[in-house]
Amino acid sequence: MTQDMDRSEAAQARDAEEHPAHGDYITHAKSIGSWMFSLDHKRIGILYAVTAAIAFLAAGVFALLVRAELLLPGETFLSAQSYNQLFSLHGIVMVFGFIIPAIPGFLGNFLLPLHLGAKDVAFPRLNLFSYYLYLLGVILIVVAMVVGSVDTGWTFYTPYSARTGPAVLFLAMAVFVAGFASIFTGINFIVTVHKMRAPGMTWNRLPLFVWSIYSTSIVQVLATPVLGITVLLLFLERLLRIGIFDPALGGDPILFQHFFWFYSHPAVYIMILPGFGIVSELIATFSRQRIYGYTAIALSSVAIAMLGFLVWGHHMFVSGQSAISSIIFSLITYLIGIPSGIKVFNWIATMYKGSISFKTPMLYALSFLVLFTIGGVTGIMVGVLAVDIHLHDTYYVVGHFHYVMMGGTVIALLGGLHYWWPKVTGRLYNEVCGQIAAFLIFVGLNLTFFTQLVLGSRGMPRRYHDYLPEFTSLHQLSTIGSWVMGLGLFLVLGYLLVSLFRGKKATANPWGGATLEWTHTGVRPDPHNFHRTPFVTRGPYEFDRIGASRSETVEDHRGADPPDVALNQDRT
Amino acid sequence: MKGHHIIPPKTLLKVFAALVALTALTALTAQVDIGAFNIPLALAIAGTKALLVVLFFMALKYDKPVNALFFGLGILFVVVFLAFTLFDTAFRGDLGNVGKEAILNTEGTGQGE
Repeated sequence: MTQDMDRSEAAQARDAEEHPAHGDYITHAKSIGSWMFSLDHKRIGILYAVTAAIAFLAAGVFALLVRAELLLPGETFLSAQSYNQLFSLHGIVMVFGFIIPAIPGFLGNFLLPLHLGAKDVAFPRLNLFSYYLYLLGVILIVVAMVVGSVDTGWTFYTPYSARTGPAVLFLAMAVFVAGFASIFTGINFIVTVHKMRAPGMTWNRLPLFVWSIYSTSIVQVLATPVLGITVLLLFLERLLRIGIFDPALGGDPILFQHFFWFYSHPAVYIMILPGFGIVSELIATFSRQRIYGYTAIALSSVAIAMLGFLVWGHHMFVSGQSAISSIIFSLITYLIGIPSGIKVFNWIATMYKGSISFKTPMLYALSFLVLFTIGGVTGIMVGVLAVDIHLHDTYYVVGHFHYVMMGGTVIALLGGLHYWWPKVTGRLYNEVCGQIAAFLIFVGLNLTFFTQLVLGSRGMPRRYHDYLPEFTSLHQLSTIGSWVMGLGLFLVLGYLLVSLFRGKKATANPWGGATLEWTHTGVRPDPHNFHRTPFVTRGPYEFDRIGASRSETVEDHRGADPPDVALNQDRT
Repeated sequence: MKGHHIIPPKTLLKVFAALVALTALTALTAQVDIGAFNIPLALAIAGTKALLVVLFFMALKYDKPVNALFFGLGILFVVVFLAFTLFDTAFRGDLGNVGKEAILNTEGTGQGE
């Protein structure tokens, strides 16, 4: 196999010699304008990455401040009002500025065309437009929250939001703008997957990352418009005094929660589904095994995307919605456990008898399995009607969704970031630092959020600025955990920055991956990704056949191209 | 299938005539009171008109089935959204084991306010 890989790399080298003037996607043009107005999906991906990283840093610092205030009972350095603003800022910036756009925006953009063997996404201009809408949305969100001192939490529930003043409307408008970025990206990706696949790239040869991004895109396109409708209705109510959500005008405040969660629950799957895709790639590559149950994993992503639309009412068990509604939503919530379980078991089965190497990305993938399982199981627990009466609005819920968001999405993103770092930057990071950071983050995360599960089950309500003395030690443990996790994350930032400028040069396929971005491009991809359209003859995890497909080997590559019929085949 | 299917003007005119006729039918049926069926009938006529527009003017009939699938999916999710929300609003306050009187009859206790 090594020989095959060498031949593949030899093909890349030969190609690079043939096209010396090109440069790769980073070196071929260097002006700021060439970045800010680039239509290249890889550069747009990096724009997303930088913006999302800034949002993550800011929202992470807000979280550290919130946790620091909770180190001691009573007011320490934040007033109750500032505390409310700070946790609202943390939630809103994290959700809308970071978690929703981060994986599709950064890795989705960067990898989707490479995984499909395409030159770019279907609509490159729309792609750039999406990025600027997202940027505008994030800027508006921060301005609205700081100037208008919004303290509603990220859910904007009435009556908090009704009393907060006009800034809430402005903020809703900002979320509306960011929402359109999400819709456009979704449309772009769906069309790209349907129309831009390389010849031979059949649906069952798509890398699982593509399946997960595809499922995510469906959710983005179907759910996000409801967020837009909600905002328009809010405007109608406030400006024209038409009663929709405000009881004083004859409206129904619980209806707002229906509208909000019809978008926001599927949004949870917008956040976690791409993470599933990354983990599938990591586990396959670092176990050197064909993924076990490819079809089951691929279709369970689609099943989760669909079922995710039918469970929003489980956020509203104590809101006063009808009992029949609660029972239906609770029942469907249990069903979500099935496709999620299918994935976890298939990943474990993939590792069975594999030659596993515990590189940093694999450490994150293994962390993901543990943390996401805790997040998922605690989710089923709060989906039980009777249990939820006790746990609703306590730290248990906070712990649960942080296990999913942080332990699931962020951990998967970190794994993906490390895995594709050599492809994105052309450099290697320090492996020892990477492993230490992964360990610190794993320990810190559990310390922070497992204590919150305990706190919540003992009755500590969420969103409170103060607490009873008996909760002190658990709160302190949680705060210390947040420091450990923060240390790990800053360590990641540090060694990745060092790697960017001083890191060792990477090779084209340092991990021995079998997807097209590893086997068919140079150290860093060219501006147009591939010198020739790849002709795909094998699946994405056939590690024993790397170099065996026609355009991967020197001889075949320099021989006849695939027949025109194959190149021009109609794709659905 | 390559390119766009060109729909003959004759077909378009027929669809147009059908739409006008259905509009007239809506106006006519609005004059007659058929009780509980007033709204379902109006919706059925409107739905048929929308279907004609989508199939012929928007040419979904001549497109690949996958486009119809996506269109249908969009409609399905609107139905899901409305139906599941109605499960709440239509049955709000029905607690099964508690009679309606117990909820409504709270005057003087301060709980019903």
